[in-house]
Amino acid sequence: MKKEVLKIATIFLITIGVVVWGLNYIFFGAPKSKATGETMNLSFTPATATVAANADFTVNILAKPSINTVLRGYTTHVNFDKTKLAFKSIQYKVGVVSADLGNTTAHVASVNAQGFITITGEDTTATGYTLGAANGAEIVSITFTALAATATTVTFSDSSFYSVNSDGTLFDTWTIAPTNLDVNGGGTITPSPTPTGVVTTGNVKLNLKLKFQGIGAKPPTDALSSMLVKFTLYDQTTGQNADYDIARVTSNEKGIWSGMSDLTVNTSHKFALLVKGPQHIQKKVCDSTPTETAGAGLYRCSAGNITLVAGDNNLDFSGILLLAGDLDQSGIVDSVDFGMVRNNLGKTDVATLAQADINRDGKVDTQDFSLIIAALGIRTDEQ
Amino acid sequence: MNNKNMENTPNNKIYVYILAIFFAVFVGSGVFLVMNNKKINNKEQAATTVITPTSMPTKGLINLKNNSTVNKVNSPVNLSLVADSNGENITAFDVVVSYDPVSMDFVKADSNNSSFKVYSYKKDNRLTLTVVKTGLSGEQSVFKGEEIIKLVFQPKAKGSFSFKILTSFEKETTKFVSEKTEVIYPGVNEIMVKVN
Repeated sequence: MKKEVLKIATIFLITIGVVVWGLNYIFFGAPKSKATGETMNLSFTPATATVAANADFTVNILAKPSINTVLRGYTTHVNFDKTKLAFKSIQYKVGVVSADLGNTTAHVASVNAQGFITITGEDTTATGYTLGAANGAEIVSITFTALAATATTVTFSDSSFYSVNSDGTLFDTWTIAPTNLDVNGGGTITPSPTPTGVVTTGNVKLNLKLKFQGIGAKPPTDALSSMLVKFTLYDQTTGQNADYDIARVTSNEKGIWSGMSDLTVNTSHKFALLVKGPQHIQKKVCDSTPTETAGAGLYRCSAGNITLVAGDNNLDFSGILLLAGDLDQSGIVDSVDFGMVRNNLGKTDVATLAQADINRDGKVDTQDFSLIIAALGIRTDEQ
Repeated sequence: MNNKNMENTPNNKIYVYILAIFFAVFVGSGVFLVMNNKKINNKEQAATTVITPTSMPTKGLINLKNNSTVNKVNSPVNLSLVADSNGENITAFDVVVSYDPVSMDFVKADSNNSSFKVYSYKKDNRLTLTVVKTGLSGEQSVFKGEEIIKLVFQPKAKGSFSFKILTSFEKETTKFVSEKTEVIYPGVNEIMVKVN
């Protein structure tokens, strides 16, 4: 009798096991391993770059996991020496940028001021992005400009990847294995005093003088008395932008900013120059030595009348004011720019000054507040 | 004696085994359903912990409201903006309103709150308002459904006209900016205004 009971119990338990396994297999498929303890290799392609001064180069960020995974999001910092490289643009190739979290090309000025790019992307599709262990995927493409032909290294930090396990749970404890990018042989990231200009290689070299609203004297620190400015040459003859450059300008004792930029253009054409500072509204300038008679900041022009020759060209724009206001570089002055100043009144820390100290006097104060209110009356970039 | 023999027959044994198997299938299905239910709960939890989409989640609202009961051609149409900042202390906000400029002229926009000043921009069929807190006092500005802006339009024709708050248009977006300089995208609405 005991034997019979044991037999029945064994059959009973085996049947339960078979039923549960069978139903699981039918409805959820074969069991899959979780990604626990796995590695995400993060590298640049190409891994090295040899770049001439003032030349652009593009690198991709390759993410290669140790097992296949379904990617939901990722974040990393790409650190570079801002005295040797300038960030120019970024393209998210896997997913999209996480709004308000990741840097985009619109954040050129702030990225170049801080020396690192915050990359944060996410895949919002229902299925996620399948990242294969065999080849991985290029998640982001970044273009830099070499400010000089010197050795430097670009590194990763603060990296996280978010994927989904086979049971639907979130997994974000990848061991990140980063590989640096060596530019011109590689070097260490050592922030140094800002250079006074940019070595140039284009057929046209612009020696520029600029004056920015609110800045009447040399700012108190090296960091504040140097900034990256975007110059875009509009070809009046073709009706299109011919070339652009991001160049560093520095202030003299009188608050006149000088810098050099080189561009490749057809010198038989006429041009207008679009100038956009890191906290400023873009200004269109049509003359080599413009002045404003209607009032400070009120220079306006329509047709480009600037002629350029191969080699040196002196463009003295210190007779007009470049108006401030577009602190987040969105192309318009709006509530965000206003909030950046009003919410930081009285602050003196470096990060806040880089964003909201419009007059570069080392403090976010009522003068910056007045400038941002005045900027609301101008509102948009000139194009 | 006969009954004892009956219990030990092979047929009876098979019945017992079959009964045990049926019972096991029943219990096994129950176990599967309980496990499956737990898995669903896990998935629901995972879904809530997966990176929060940052593309325009809305909080609070900025809505248009028609304050004129009867609207006539050449008599001003009074609209207002009603705001709820979802408990956030607001420093500034932008509102993009689309309307028909052929049938309506924008006249003015005024703030009902003296701490805020309105900057208005007209372009094509859009009116953009940037409203900023110019007062420097530490007074909180948490909107709780009150009318914050008065808008006046002048109708030029009879008909039924749409006024719609756009979440975004080109570089412009409807948004609150909080005291922490956080951007909050509110819910928006559309109203129809009839002009006789």
